[in-house]
Amino acid sequence: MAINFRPIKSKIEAPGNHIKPKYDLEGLRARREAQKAAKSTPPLPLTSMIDMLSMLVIFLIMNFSEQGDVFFNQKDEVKLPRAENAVPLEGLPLISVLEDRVLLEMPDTVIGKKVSIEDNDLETLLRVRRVLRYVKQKHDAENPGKEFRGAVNIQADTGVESKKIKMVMNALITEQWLEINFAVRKFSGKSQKTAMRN
Amino acid sequence: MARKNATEDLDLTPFIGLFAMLVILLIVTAAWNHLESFKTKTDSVTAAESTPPEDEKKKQIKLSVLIQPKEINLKLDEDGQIYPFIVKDFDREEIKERLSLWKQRYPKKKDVVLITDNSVDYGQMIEMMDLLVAGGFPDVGVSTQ
Repeated sequence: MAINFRPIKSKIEAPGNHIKPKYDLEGLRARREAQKAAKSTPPLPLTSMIDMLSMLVIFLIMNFSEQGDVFFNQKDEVKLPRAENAVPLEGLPLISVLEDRVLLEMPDTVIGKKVSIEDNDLETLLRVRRVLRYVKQKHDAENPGKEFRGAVNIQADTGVESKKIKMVMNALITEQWLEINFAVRKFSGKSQKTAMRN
Repeated sequence: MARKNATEDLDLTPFIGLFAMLVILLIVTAAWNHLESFKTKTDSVTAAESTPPEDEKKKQIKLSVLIQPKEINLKLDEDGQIYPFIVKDFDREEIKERLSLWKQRYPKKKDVVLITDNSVDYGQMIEMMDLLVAGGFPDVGVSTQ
């Protein structure tokens, strides 16, 4: 009698992941799969990035000034006064009037190289005068018949005595630098009255 | 034929590139300090000594402001007749009123001479210039005496 062996489905199944019986294997597996999913590359949330850039662009456009290349080296010890009705500052040679000295700085566009000198003698301002005179003479020699503009910016701390400003102005006028501009900080707030008095 | 997925993401890369370039451009060209200036053209003659307009030739009008530590003298010189007006403690409203009165009387007048005491600080000088410009007198000549 022939015995017909039919293949039977194996009752033995490969065991699932398990470490020790006491662990909740389903939960462990779920956590491990979730970790794998997290490691995959999720889409970058670009919306917030675009929002941020848009805000930045709007802020920069609102604060934009076409006078971007102004030659102006603000000194730490100088707190400029504020004003509402001034005009945009031009990039010109700069004179800084400090408590004990005067600094003259010129961009390289004036005489072809940068100039930066310090004068401690406020009464005579000999060094400053010498440079101012040299610049005017150079201009007159190179541009005969062309009027010398003689424009300069003055910056000074709010608390500096006007006597010192007048000394510098006198030196400028003597050397034929007649267009004098006083640098101020723009102020458009409502509390200007109190800010200025303080 | 398979339908295209309706919720397809917009390609934002060029937008971001554009914005980034714009931000860089603006940052590079921006002037961060909001600096301005008051111009004073100091010719050999002061502003007040310059030739007056035709209709005011009959009267020689000179306006000047003298800043002293505790008071401000807004002086009107009309053909040698001097009308001083003293303002105590830098009262801005009073100064504005007086400047407005000057402007009403002499609408074409634009120049004022600013004289400061040596002890007056630069901040006060600029504050007065600001008031003068706001009051319709943009040609402020600063006396260096």
